[in-house]
Amino acid sequence: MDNMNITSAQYQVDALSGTNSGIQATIDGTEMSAPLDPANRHYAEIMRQVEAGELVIADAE
Amino acid sequence: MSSKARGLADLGNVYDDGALSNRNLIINGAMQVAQRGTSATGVTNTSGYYTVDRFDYYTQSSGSVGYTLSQSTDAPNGFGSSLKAECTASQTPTGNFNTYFRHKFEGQNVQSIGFGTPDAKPFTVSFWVKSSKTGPFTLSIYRYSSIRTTGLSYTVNSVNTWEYKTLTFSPDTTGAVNNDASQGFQVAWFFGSGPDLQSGTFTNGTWSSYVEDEYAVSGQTNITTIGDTFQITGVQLEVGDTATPFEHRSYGDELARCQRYYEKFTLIDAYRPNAIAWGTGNTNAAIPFTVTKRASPTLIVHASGDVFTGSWVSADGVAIAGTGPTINGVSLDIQKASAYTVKYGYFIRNQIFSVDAEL
Repeated sequence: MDNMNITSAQYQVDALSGTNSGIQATIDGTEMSAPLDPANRHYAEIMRQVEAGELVIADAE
Repeated sequence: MSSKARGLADLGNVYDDGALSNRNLIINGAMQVAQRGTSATGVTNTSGYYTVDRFDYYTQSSGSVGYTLSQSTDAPNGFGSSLKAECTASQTPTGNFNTYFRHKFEGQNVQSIGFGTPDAKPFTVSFWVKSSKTGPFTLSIYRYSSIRTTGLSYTVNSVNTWEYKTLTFSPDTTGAVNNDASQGFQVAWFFGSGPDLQSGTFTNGTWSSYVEDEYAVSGQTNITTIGDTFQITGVQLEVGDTATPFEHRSYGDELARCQRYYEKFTLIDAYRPNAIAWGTGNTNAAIPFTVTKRASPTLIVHASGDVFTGSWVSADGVAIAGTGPTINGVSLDIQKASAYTVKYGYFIRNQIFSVDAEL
C-alpha cells in the first residue's frame, strides 16, 4: 500500500565501535539514516526491495 | 426527542461503548500540529507526510497531477485549522490512479473495536469536509494484518461549504488486529480515483478481502483539475454507532501524541548541548527524545550546524553514532576534519534534524 522510491542504500558503521549503525539511503529524494529495526517503515521497505531484487545495499566504506 | 434528551441518550450510548474520555482514536484530528511545515508545493507522485502531523498524502499515479498541501486556517466554527489539498497540475484519472489523505493506527490502540472477535463493535467516523466540487466521495478502511477492507461513501452537497459527515461501520468479526505497535488499520479520504477502482461493486460497508475494483465508490469526485480543492478537519473515530461531539484536546496534548511518531529538533544556541570528541574528526552528543518513539526512528539531517573549537566553525556533517537511534534518543556524530582533541568537550549548535517513527 506504500510506495517509496529508493535510489541508493549503504550500510553505515559506527567508527568508534565498528558496528553497523544503520543504512544511509536516499528515499523519495531525501537522504536519511534508517535504523536496523524491522518496525521502522524505511528499513522495512529497504529490506522488502532487497528481497524483491529491486535494491542492493552497498557495503560500508 | 429534544436536543438535550438526544445528547443524554448519545452520552448513554458512549458509556455503553466504554469511553467517556479519550473517545477519539484519531490523533491531531483538529489539524493543529504541523511539525514539518504548514505548506508543501508541487507535490506530485510521491506519497508521504508533508504538513499536518499523522495525516499523510498517498498517491498512485505516474501522471501529471500536482497539489499544494497545507495546514489551512480556513476551518468551520470551533476549529482553527484544516488539512487542504489544492490541485495545481491537472490529470484525467485513468487506470488505478488514486489519491487520498490517510490516517494510520497502531494495532494496540484499536483493540477496543474488537476486530476478529465475537464481540466486535461498530465504529463511527465523523468529520468536516469542504470541497470545490460536489458529488460522491469515498471513505475507505484497510486493515493490515488480516487484509480486510470496506468503505462507505458520502456526498458533498454544496461547493466551498463546510459540511459535517458521520459514517458508521459495522462490526467485523473476522480477522484480528495485531496487538502491538505495528500498523493496525487505516482510514482514507479519497479525493481522486481512476476507473479501475470503481469497476466492481463498491463494498458500501460490507467487509471483505481487498479487491482493487471495489475500493472506491462509482463516480468518485476527482479533485484533479487546477484550482480544485478538498479539505477536512474535526476528524473523530470512536467506538460505537453514534457520533459524539468532537473531543477537543489541547495543542500540547496533541503535540505529544504526534511526537511518538515524528519529532523535529533545532539545537539552538540558547541551550547548546555538549559533545565529547573520540577522534580528531568526530565528536558525539547524546540527544534524548521528548517523547518515547513508536519504534527506532529514521534520522533526517536538515542542517549540520556549528561546533565550537575556540570559535564557531561549520561542521562537515552529522551522522548517527553508536548502534543507531533507540526509541528514547539518538547519539549524533558531529564531524569536522582535524578539529578536535580526543576526550575534550565541545559545544555544538544549530544542528537541525528530525526523527521519523511513522507507521
